[in-house]
Amino acid sequence: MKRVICPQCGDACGAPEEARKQLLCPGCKAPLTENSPPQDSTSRVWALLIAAAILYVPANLLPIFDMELVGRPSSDTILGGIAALFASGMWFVGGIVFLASIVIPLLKILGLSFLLISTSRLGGVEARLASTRLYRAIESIGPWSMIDVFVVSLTISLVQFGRLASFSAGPGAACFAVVVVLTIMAARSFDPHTLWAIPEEKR
Amino acid sequence: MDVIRCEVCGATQSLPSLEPRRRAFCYRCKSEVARGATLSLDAPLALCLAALIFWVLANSIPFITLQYGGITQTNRVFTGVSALWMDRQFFLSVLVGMTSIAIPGLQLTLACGLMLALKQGISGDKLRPLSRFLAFIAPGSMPGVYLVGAFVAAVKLSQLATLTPGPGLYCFGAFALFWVLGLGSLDLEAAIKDFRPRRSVR
Repeated sequence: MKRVICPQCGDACGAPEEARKQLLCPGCKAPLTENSPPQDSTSRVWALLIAAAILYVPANLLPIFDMELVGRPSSDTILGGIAALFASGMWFVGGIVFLASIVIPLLKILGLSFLLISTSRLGGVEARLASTRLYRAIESIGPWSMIDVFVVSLTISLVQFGRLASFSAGPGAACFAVVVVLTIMAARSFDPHTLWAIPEEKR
Repeated sequence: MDVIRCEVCGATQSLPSLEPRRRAFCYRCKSEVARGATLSLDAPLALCLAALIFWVLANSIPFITLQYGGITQTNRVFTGVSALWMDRQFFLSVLVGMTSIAIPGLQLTLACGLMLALKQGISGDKLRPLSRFLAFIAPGSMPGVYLVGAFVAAVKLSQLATLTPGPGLYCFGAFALFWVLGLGSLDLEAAIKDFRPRRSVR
């Protein structure tokens, strides 16, 4: 028997060394994760990441806006919109959109892949600390890539001037939104316990 | 002294009693493991109620007005959702509606309800499913991100047409601010575990 702390109510519960099925806290009935059979989330995180990486391509190539200005149809991709902002001297806003729509999704896909690959090879405490910090950063920046999706929603609801000017959401917008959702799900599926699972060396 | 388990790396450790506003970090992975709560729910409750009031206002009054070639177009927060739906972008429409309106509102309503229930003396154990649900929906709530999105959209559109921020936009800003302050100052875990309503002494 060993003592396990319930992650929910904090009670110390007795648990057999090797559990065959999911143990529940006798007090609050929450699953005792430390003693559950190891659930390997790695393949799920990989699946979500690969799906996100595939969709990242059409999200950037297909237009997020289809617009019609004074009878002339045109469209705008994510990068095109950023380039237009930079071209008209809006460096600050262009920078925000560039960070939110290009850098953050890439950082999340690459960063989580790096964490998944490096988990089994982590050596000392320093490397684990750095990985944990990377994981926390990836998890907390997640929602900020939604900015462009909100911009699309606000723009198409405002610019409805019939034949003079009208905007609608292009196919790239939905792809991009799916990328954002998939990367958020991937970050949440990643189990940071794995970063610390292997017995530590001497400190 | 309490014994707790780090959510991030799973290390079990003892936690000294924390003064309000002090934070404790995991000895091993340095993630925050606990926060000293001011075991009063008055401030978080007041802030969450204020956020809820501004949430109602932000959703019911004009958000932004755009003028182009003699035509004026006013939108509300919900117009963005319905415009996407009309465009047959159902996924985008639901996603925007959930993250900017529905989940933040649900979150605040539940948090207020939970705090009021605790103040009424209902035992924390009965409220655990509710707090678990709140933790589950929390990542889907993005009022701050929406505000930045509105800022970017406004800057982009102001090149094209004359743009006037409506009162709804300011209310949304106030809502996002109180949302952060209210839910940020509420440590639900600690409240459910340790909150005891003050008994009235006669």
